[in-house]
Amino acid sequence: MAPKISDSESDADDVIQISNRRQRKQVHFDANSKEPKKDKHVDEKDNHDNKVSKNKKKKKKKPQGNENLQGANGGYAWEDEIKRSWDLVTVDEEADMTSLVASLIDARKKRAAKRNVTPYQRGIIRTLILTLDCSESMTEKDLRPNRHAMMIQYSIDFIHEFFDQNPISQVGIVIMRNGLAQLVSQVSGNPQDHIDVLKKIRKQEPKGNPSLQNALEMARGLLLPIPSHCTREVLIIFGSLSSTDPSDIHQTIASLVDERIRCKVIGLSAQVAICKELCKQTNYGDESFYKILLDETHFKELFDEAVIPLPVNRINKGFTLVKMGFPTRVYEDTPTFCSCHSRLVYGGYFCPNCHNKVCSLPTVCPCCDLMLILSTHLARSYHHLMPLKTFNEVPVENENFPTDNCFSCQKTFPVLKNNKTGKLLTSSRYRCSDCSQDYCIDCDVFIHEILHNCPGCESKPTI
Amino acid sequence: MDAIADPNFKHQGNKLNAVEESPSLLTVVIDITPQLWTEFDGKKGKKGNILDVLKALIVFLNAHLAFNISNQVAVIAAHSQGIKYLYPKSGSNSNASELDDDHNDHYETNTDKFIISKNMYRRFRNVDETLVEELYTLFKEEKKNVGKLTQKSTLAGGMSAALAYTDRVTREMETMSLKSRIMVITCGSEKNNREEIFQYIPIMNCIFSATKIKCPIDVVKVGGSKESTFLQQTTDATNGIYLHVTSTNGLLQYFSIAMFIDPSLRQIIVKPNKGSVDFRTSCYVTGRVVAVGYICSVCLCVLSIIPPGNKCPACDSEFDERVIAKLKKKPVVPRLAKKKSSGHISK
Amino acid sequence: MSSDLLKHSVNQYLEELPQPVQTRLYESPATCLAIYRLLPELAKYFMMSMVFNENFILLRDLDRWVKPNGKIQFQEAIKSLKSLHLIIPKKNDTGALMIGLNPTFRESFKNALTGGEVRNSFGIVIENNSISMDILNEYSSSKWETILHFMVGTPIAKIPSANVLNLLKSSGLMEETETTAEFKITNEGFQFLLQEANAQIWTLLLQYLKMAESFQMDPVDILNFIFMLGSLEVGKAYSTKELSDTQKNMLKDMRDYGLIFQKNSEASVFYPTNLSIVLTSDNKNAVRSAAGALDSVVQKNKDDSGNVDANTMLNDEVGLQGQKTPEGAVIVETNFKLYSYSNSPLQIAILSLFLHLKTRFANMVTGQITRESIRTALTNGITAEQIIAYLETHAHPQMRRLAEENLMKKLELDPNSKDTLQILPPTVVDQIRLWQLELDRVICYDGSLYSDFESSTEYNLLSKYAQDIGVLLWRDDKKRKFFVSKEGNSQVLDYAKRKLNKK
Repeated sequence: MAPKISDSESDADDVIQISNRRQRKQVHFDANSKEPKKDKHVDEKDNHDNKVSKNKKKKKKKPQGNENLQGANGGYAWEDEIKRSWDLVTVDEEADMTSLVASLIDARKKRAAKRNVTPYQRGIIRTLILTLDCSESMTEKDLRPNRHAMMIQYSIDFIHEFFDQNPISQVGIVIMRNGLAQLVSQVSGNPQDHIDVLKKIRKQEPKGNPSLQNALEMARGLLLPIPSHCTREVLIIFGSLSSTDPSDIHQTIASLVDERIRCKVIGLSAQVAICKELCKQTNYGDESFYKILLDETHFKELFDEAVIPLPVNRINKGFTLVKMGFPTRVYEDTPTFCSCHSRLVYGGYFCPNCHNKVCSLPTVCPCCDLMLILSTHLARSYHHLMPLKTFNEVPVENENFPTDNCFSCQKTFPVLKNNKTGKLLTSSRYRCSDCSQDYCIDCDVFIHEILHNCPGCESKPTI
Repeated sequence: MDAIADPNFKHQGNKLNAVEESPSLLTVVIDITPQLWTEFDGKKGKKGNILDVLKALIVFLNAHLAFNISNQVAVIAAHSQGIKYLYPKSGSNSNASELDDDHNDHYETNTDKFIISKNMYRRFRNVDETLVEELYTLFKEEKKNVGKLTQKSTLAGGMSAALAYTDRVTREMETMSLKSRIMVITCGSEKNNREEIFQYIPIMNCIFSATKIKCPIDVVKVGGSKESTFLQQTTDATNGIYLHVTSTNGLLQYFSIAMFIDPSLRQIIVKPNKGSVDFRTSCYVTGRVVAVGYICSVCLCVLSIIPPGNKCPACDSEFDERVIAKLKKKPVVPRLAKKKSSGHISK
Repeated sequence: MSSDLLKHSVNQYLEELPQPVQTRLYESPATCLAIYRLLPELAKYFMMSMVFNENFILLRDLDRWVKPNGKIQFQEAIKSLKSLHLIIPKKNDTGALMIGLNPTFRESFKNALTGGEVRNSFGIVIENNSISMDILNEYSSSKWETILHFMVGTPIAKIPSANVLNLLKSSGLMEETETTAEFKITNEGFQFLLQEANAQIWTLLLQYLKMAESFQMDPVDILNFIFMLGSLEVGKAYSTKELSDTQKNMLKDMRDYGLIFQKNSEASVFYPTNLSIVLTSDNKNAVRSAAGALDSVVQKNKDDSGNVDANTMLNDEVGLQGQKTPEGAVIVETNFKLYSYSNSPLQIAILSLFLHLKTRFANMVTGQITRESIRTALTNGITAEQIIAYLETHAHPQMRRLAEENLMKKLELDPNSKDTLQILPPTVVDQIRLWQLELDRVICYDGSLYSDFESSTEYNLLSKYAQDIGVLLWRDDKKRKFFVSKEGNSQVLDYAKRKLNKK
């Protein structure tokens, strides 16, 4: 089936599209490498980035950002032909979609595996204010069941994930509702508290206008007492297209910059100029902190991005030593009160400083203010500091590979041959440059996403 | 109506509660570094301890396969030069995921596995024969490697591979809701501690991925010191079982009681270990065990003292002097005038 | 669920065997292995912990191994072990109850595990005489499906052999109408159809055993053979040499059910099929793949004609192996619509028992669950539970995964939540039950009524115990009366004797 493109539009963008599709079609039948496929995906991504404003709603934009709204054809992005998801689907002669599905799955896996791996010094000890838009615009049903419900659901997942990856960090939650900013959950390191609060908000009906300035001021107030070795971050989920502010928001932004508070905004509808400016200003001119979601999975991806700690910027370095306690765990036959929740519990952890019992870690000792953690919590953050090298796809030069099985899971590498030419399409092997062991794509993803250990390197007897 | 409806609906609740038996995968990682075992042999004054362990292991694997017809096993050996899959056979082209029934006959020819009775249950025999055969070749190779340099144990590599294998099998068997667990068999030696430091981060990473894929890790440590900080932490964090045995006598009995708790039974069986686990870490500089320490905010290394030169010994980042000064200040200031500042320090 | 049912029925048969027969049965390692697999999980664990331990253990110690929330499972495990005479109770010097493993069983089971003396109980393989899996699959499924088709009454159906017909009749699954001498399916037959393949085979085999007894065949021989079949490897040839005469006679019957394949009745070898493997398995996949084997054979033929390479290649690329949607996967929506990915006439016929079928596509059928369709099923003697169990076991893996995810989320939020896995939409499940309730206004239970207690403490003690072990059906605190199911009565009586005599 040929791609369906209207004849009236014959500008550059569409030409690219067509050629891309042709190339991709080739891949399935007689291409020699996977390269074109990759290009396609890069292109697609770029297109998306350019056309962020070509969002589902064709609402009127503020005039400031016009040059960014232009599509590749010179006109406004929303004047481009709408690309439906089913337009992407090409069906080959035998109406067999498996090949297409396979390539899409593979590409998604690859994208997931190719995360940023340059070792940065990252701000591991983070303080983040999650700011949620609970204004009327959140009742829109463009996300199912509506924006509000989905945002809350993803926020709960985010909190889980955040504390899983950043166990020694803290979070506070602020909502924007009825023109006010409301602190719903105090800055703390206990995920359960936050989740309980979020569940409560879920039942609350979104109402009124949001006020970005109020929320930012509140976040600033909350972040002020945070010591300099922690990062100060604000993550805003913004669904409206306007903000009702009491005074000049630019001053607030300026003071945020002074305080070295970094903001990240996830927009649910169209791009809003003030959000863009906010992100640009507070992130030293980097615009990539303002993202608009494309669909539900993208929303999730954007949340996931916020889980990874930010690289420490040269400018706001606050290297320091932090005093922390490593408590010992005790077992008791009779329950005693814990000092954090005043509940009767069996066993718990004794603060090494003041010998006061707390029931869960990490926490700040309620008596002596010492940060109490397990050494395992520290270790959980290590992979951010020392990311694993990406594996490289082994090129198809000859058909002799050292191994037939994936080193870590013993899966036999598939032999993907072109039916006509008999040439190998891809080696399906991904090699670690340090230990030169080959892995399959699934292990590659597993190793980089979850394990963060290269089994090959770990099983070398020498260092 | 309610009264009538009630028993019917209650009935259903009960029935659903009865857990459906799900198959499980057991991945065994065994440390067979010859050095460790000869050392252990020497101390016990008895040869061939490792053979005892392997014998017990084979029966244990059979027992696991007997537990449920779709149960699966995998065995990975961590030897002095790397790791090796003992079962499923590495390099064999038969797809391991189909080990259920169609095991090809390509290891039918070897003569070395006369130990395994010919008339044994096929599934046991397939596993056992491969295992023995692979071990045999492995030991032959190990003979050549006696003099070679080893700096660290390969156990963490074995565990990483076991996790990757577990991940793969669970993914492929998604429709059967396969449960999994990993069992680590290691031999303790006295000078283990130095080695363990290189293992710390990889083992920690293994712990986190194991908790993420909900796979308990059990540990059996033969000989050596009773404690094994990292491995104990592993079992604690993954809901596994830590077992320390001093000799290999009667190991099978230990296996069949303490190590036989299927993941589906973990909720209702009291785990045999309940000792306290050491969660403290050691100082990067002095090596002392730390209860209250300082942590570099950049690289997260633990220090028991404020390092000289205000520089992190691990990552060389310079610390903010004011903060250091505050930390150095002794908090013994009961007088009113200074109370303010001391309060500030602890913040 | 139906695997529970299966275990239950097989175990029940075994439990009813007289003890000497049981003991003779335990002499075969293969049988021991199969029986072991049929036990509840906790019982299996206890067994394993006792196999290599010659000493008697205190029952109290076993009890201590189990957390309080597993008491029901504990009772169940001990009960099943006792009734199979796998454990032997003994009082020690202090009067505490000790238990030990049945020595015959211990010996055989140990041999099975270690590969000691197994005496050919796992069959004798004849090497270099293998057969292609396809032939076996095709053979077994054609035999088996013939039986099922015949029961459903598909017009195309061939008529199974006389033996099979006899069996169907005597098991009450079908009856001969007097006027036309045609076979007609009974209520039990309908229920039978909804079961999983392994349960179906066992139902027939148990019936076979009952019939065999009347022919003076030794049940031990038969059972040994059945359990041996379950432990053989598909695609291998096995010698008939070591079989007893009874077992040789059985070969023919087993062939009729599609459990084994023989090139001709005089051949000295036989080949177990994948249906026979199902005998000792409760593995959903194996069971289902056996049931849908016919379809997969058809599928394979199609593949053969097309380019196999391309197909396997793609599967490999995505890592789809082992994830193939099982045949006949069913999706049920909250609006009572049902989709089944199947084109096997058998599957469709079975669905039509309780479903109003609407459309049929190349690879799936859709239908609607309606009050009428369910009522027809109910009047045919199929219970709501069976329908639900059928839908649950055949649910599409995607539904199961979704349900598991939801449950996981719920448990994460509230670890104490009592929610169980809900694979089917609860509305549908409840509605099907309600439709059944419309028919049964009164439910009868066999059991015993306890009344006339001396004191309320006595009443409380007993009623609480009965509740704890899950046999209490009804209680009235004011009148101090409660009702206990038949199965639990003896336990409550024992307890009452122990407790009340003490005082």
